[in-house]
Amino acid sequence: MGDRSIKLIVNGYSYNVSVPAETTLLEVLREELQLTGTKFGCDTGECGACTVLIDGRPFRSCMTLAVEVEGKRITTIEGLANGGELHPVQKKFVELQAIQCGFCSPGMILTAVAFLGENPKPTRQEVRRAISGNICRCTGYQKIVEAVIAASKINGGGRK
Amino acid sequence: MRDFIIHEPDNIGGACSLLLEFGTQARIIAGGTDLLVDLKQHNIEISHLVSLAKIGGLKSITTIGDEIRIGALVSLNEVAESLTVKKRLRALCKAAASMASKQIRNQGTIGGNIASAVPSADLPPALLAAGAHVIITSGESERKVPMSNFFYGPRKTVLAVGEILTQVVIPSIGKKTAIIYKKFKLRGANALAVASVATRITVAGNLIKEGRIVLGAVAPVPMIAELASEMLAGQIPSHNLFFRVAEAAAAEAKPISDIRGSREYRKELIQVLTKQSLDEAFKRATGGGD
Repeated sequence: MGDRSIKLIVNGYSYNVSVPAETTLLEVLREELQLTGTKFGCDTGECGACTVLIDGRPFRSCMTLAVEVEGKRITTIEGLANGGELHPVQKKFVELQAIQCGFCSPGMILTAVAFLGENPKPTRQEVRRAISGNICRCTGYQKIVEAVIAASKINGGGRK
Repeated sequence: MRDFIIHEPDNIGGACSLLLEFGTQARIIAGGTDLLVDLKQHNIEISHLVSLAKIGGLKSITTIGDEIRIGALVSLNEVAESLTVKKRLRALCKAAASMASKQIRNQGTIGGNIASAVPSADLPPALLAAGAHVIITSGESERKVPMSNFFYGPRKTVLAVGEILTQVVIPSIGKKTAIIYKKFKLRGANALAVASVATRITVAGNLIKEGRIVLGAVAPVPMIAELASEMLAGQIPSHNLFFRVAEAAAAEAKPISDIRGSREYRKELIQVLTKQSLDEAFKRATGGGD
């Protein structure tokens, strides 16, 4: 029924895209902007692989229509590193090998970054609760929890 | 998803007019967490969406005296974390916090959780226990509907074509009264209620003045267990009384068997959850614990 022109602010850059109204934010990120770090998982809001930050808070991009986030500040996994330097949460995921297949990692990391922004010194139990909306089928979560705890001990662990 | 046109009116009257104009071809989108799944799976086929996102006045929690008014677009996380709500109706915060995932709670709204009328929804039992009502507007006029009269059946409500639920109003809860929400789910997170109970107790001296027991996920709509509730009025609280009331609540429940639990299992759950919630509500109403 005709495309809609919208302006999206992703990782600090402004993009103008023209998409049908039924296009999700996930589809725009992956297919229009080629930001394929955000993963297409269950497509029904259950798995968390498509998590992005909207104005600093985690959302499911598969359950968000692109037209509804016009003008809002969107952060994807590609926007976390500062220049060439990885975000503290990313660093700890690598260092502590909190990754196996890697499919859940972008969503998991963004959820953790938003969480550490709210709760800079969490307990392991709080971390487990915080990442409960992101499903990992490889790791058993143990190393992910350890990586988030380790990141919380670095200054700027919750920087978005 | 099939293609549709999204309308983004900036006032409620405009939204109501669009809903009237497009009738069964239109749906309201608030958080969209139920609706987008239905659209993707082709459970719903429509050609117009009316977004409430640009309408002012639907996103705040305010108090007038002891009454709390929650705008329909307030997110589930905002309900869960609101100090205003926590102070007066903690059971509602707990119910909101128990839902889905952080991401979905940032997106899903209180209005959507009510208006979607899913039998396992978490907020309606606590709201029914609190005696809440909703404000519904047609653009031209407003009406007030008690939560206890809002639901007709699964995904069926009193909302007519062209009407929008705009506010949820929680009355003053009163002294010596406690409301407790208990939910059984199959996992610690990302899980719907298999059965839930919201219990309200008011004490006076050594007696229970009155009580109300609301059951979730065990009937086509969230239901007040009337007989069980009446058994509490004017009684001396005791383990034995609460046990009999819990049995009565289980007898009143009308659950179905589905993927999350059988009819028999749900009845057992109602008995256990009712007993637990009565114990806790009594303790809190008499000033003990939380």
